[in-house]
Formats: sequence, C-alpha cells, structure tokens
Amino acid sequence: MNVHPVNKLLWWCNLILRLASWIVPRQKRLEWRQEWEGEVWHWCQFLRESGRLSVRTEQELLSHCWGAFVDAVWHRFNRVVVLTFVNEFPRTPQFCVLACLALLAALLAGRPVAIFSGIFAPPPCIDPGHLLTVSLSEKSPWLQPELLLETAVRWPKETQLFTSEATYAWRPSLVRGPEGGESIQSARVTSGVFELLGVRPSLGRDFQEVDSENCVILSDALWKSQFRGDSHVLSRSLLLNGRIVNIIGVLPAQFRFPVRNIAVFSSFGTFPHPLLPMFEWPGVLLRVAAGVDAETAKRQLQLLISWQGNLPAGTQLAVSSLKDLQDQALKTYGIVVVLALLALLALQWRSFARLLNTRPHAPVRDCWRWYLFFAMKNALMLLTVFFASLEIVQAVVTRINVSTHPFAGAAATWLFLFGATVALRWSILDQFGRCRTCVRRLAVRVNLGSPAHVLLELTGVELVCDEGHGTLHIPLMESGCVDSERWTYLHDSWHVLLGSKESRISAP
Amino acid sequence: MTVTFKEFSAARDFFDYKGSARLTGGTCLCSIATYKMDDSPKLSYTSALVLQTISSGYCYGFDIMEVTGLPSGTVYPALRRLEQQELIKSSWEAPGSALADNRPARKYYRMTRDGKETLVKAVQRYALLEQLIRAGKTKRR
Repeated sequence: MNVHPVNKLLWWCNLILRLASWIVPRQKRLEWRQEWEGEVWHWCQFLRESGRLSVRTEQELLSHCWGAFVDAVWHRFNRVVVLTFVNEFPRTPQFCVLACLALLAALLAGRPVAIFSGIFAPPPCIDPGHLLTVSLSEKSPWLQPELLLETAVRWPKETQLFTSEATYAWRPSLVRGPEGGESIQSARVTSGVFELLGVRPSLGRDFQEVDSENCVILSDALWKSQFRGDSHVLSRSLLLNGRIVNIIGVLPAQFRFPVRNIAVFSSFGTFPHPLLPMFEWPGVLLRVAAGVDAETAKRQLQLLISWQGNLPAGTQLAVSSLKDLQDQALKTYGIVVVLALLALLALQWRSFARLLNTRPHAPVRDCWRWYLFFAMKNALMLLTVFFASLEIVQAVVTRINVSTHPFAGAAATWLFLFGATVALRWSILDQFGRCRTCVRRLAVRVNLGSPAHVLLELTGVELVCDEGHGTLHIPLMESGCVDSERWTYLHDSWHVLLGSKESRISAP
Repeated sequence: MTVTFKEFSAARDFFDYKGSARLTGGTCLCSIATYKMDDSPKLSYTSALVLQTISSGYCYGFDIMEVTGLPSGTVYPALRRLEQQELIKSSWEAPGSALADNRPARKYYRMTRDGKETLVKAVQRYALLEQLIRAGKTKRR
C-alpha cells in the first residue's frame, strides 16, 4: 500500500479543518482542532490498515471534514446560548430601556420637530448669545412702531455697547396665494435686520433702499406651502392683507425669527402702517459688540431706556437676551410636562395604587433599582409620545399644505395627552408584572383554583420569578380581608428548584 | 413571609394542597416544585441514538459516525449538547501513550450517571430505538 495518498489526504483534511477552526472562538480553537485532527489521523490510518482506502472513502472523509464547519459554527453561535438570549433578553429591564431609546432615536433621526428646532437644530442666526431683544412689557400701553424706531436708532450712537440695531413690527395677517388663504404673522422690518441676524435669503435678495412698498420676503415654510418650493417664485405675487405684493426673496429653511414665527417680511419704511392702535406690535433687535458681556449690555440698555424721556408716559420696555427667552421656554415646557405627569398619575391612580401595594420592601438597593427603572421608563415613554404627537401633527399640517394651522397646537396637546395615558397605563402594567428584586418580567404563570370555587378557596393567578426571588399573587376577585394582591419574597434556597436559565431550554 | 425550599419540601409531604398554600403564601409553588422535580432533559431521536452508541462502547466521534451513519455535522454538535447537559463527559487520552506510539492524542466520550438515567427514559420513549437495541443484542449473540 502506498503511503503517499494518505499524506495527501491528511494534508487536504487538515487544510479544511484549519479553515473551519477560524470560526471557533479563540480560547477553544486549539483544543477543537486537536480533537478533529486526531480523529482524522486515526481514521486515515484505520482505512489504510484495513485496506478500505479508496476514492469513495477518501471522498467520504473529506465530506466529514466539511462537516467540521457545522461543528465550528455551533461553537461560535451556540444554539442554547442564542435561544437563551432570545428568550431571556426581552424580559430584562435593559431591553425595555433600549427599546424606548431606539423608538426615541428613530423619531429624532430625521428632521427635529419644529417646536424644538431652536434647541436641537443649529441656531437660526449667528452668535445668538450676543443678541438682545427689546419689546413692550405686558403692563405697557401700546406704542407706535415709528416712535420706537426713532428712539432705537439712537442707542448704538449713544453707547459703544452695540454694533447695530433693527426694528420690527409684527401683526397677524392673512395671505392668499396659489394654494388658497392662510392665517400667518407678518412683520415690517428695517433694512438691516437680516444682516444683523447673519442670514442671507436662500433665493433672491435682501431689502434695499430702492425697493417699493410692495416688496416682500417669504419664509421657507410659506414658500413651500403656497408655491410648493418653486424656484421660479421671484417676481411672482400674492395677496397680503388684501394688497398685492411682489416676492423678492425666500429665507433659508433653518432660519427662524428670534421673537415670533413670521412668515412674510416687508420693508419698514415703505409699507403703510395701520391706523388702528394695538394692531401692530413693535420690537427692537440689538447686536452686542464683540468682547462685551450680554448681561452687562442688557443692564446698560435698561438704564439708558429709563433715562430717555421721549417715549410716551407709562411705556415700559422689557429687555431680554435670546438666552433668557430660550430658558423661559424650557422652564415653561418643564412645568407643562410636570403638570401633565401629575394629571396623568391622578387619572391612573387605581392602577398606580395596585403597584404601590405590591412594591418592593426588602433591601434598599432593590427598591432604588425598582423605582429608578420605573421613572426612567416613564420619562422615555413620555418623551417618545411627546415627539410622536408633534411629528404626527406636523405631518398632517404639511400634507394639507399650510405653513401654520390654528388647531395644530391643540391637536398636538390632545394627541400627547391620549398617547401619554396609554403609555403610562402600559408602563404601570409592565412594572406590575416584573420581579421586585431583579426587575425582570415574571415568566412563570400558574392558575390557582377554579373560577367556580371563587368563594370557597383561593383562586387567581400567581406569577413567579424564574430566578426564585419571589411570587406575585393576583386573586381572581379582590375580596378585602380574605385575599389581596401581594408580593412574597422567597428564600435563596428556592434557586435549587428554579434552576439555571440555560437548562430550561436546552432540549436538543 | 419568607419560606425556605427545605421547609417547603419537608412540609409538602404532610400537607394537602390547601395546607401548603397557607404555608407558602403561594400555592403555585407546589405545582412548580412537582413539575420541576420531574424535569429531566428530553432528548431528540438523534441525541438518543448518539447516547445509545456511546453506551454501547463507541467512544470516539468518528466511530459514532461510522456506527450510526450520521454525518459529522450532526454527530459533533449532538456530542457538544450532550456534554453541555452533563449526560456525557469527554476526556483526553493520556498524552504519554499517544506520544509513545507517535500519534496524536484522541478525545473520548463516556456516559455519566445522569446520561444513563436519561437514556433509559429515552429508550422507553422511542420504541424504534428499543427495537434497534434488541436487534443489536440478538445479532451479538
């Protein structure tokens, strides 16, 4: 018998085994290869010595070596480990938190919702930390915009704290274009306003001195809702409060006027101001000079305003920085969220009381873990519902082709309240069915007694933690002193009964 | 109220269903305990066949493949699972003897006590396996 074919066969077999061994985890690889190579070597010798070595048996041996890939894959992706993971992981608190985070991330993955664009999106103008706004305070009587314009022009000249100023006057308006009528807010602005904010129109040009009174610049939202984003919109016209106006520019999508959501801008000096008082609300934007603190500039401006006597008696101007406005908005959102949460808890009080009755009462660490998970889950769920309701309303508003809708805010609020009620209810029920120690979902469910014997013996359901931490007793009928929902802790010795996780699903 | 498993195991022999319910504060533990105590692993036909082959004295992977006619991609993962369930145990042969014969060492498999008990139940479960064993014994005679 020739020795050469065996060596060649062994070489091929070892090559296949070496390739397959790369699949095996590193720490088991050497032992795995030794086992296979040993088996193959002995089998080759056996075939040679028994005179069974032929082309057919060689091919059989090679096909057995290819089977080593299956064994190697088993080592890498152990079925028991994979099944354990698939069965156990969805019941863990980590899965719940990750699922909520994933949902939240999916909602925020695209364009952030309009209401939060100031927080999440890039700032709508350059260096917002050095911008001050002056507006009429709540108790102040109405002030004619032209009077404020005359006063504000002097401020940068009287103090070196400001580099430029721009006056505006906004009012509710009605615009009518190719897609129909829309209620919007329009503003008359002085010509330097966009330069002060560091914004240039994405289409067309800024205001110039030679512009007639009928020249307007549109916001991106109105351009999209009325002209469907048509790039040939320049020199087209629309009706603004019953007057025909010509479009000379469109502002970029990320631009947002710092104070109001203005859809149409017109030049201050050319447009006839309304004769009716309290119809148009004036304000001033000021750019603080580089190197000057915004707070210092704010205090100096307040002093300057109080010294000047050219404004009508009783006029009160409020000075605030853009940062103050953002903080105020955040505070308002925070209060609304807390109030909504309290209202929702009051609505869900019965379910919440059930949860409190069966709360953990053993080690402090378990209690902390339990409450922390509940709080985190609720926070994430409410945030998700909040963003989802805003996105849904936004999508509907966009579909019906209007830039702003009078019912959008109310619809978003009601949608949020409804969604939050459902989410909170689910969250409480989910928490109720979790172990008070390890916070995993209770996996073992056992029905007790028969519903027909409800008054004769204990009937209901018992949920058991498969780690052996405790049982949750849920009676079929809550009957006061006789039977009630309760959580019972089990001694560590119950681990013997409930066993390890892997052995429960390891049936081959 | 916390109840230890030992107390429960001792008590369940003396108390009826309701009695144990009062003792534990959870009657379901009685049924779970009864279920779990009888919770021996249930083998597939392939695993039972592999286990039976090892029981018959074939202790190497390729020997098992030869006897059962199963491919290596089936036999080896079955061996790994059986070993994981502690029904069989693997060992390397003494390196000295392999070195003396100038050959690589081999890994062999043998049954554990749990494996023997499980095989008895598996044989009762799989009638065909029982017939194969009987046929094998008759053939040997």
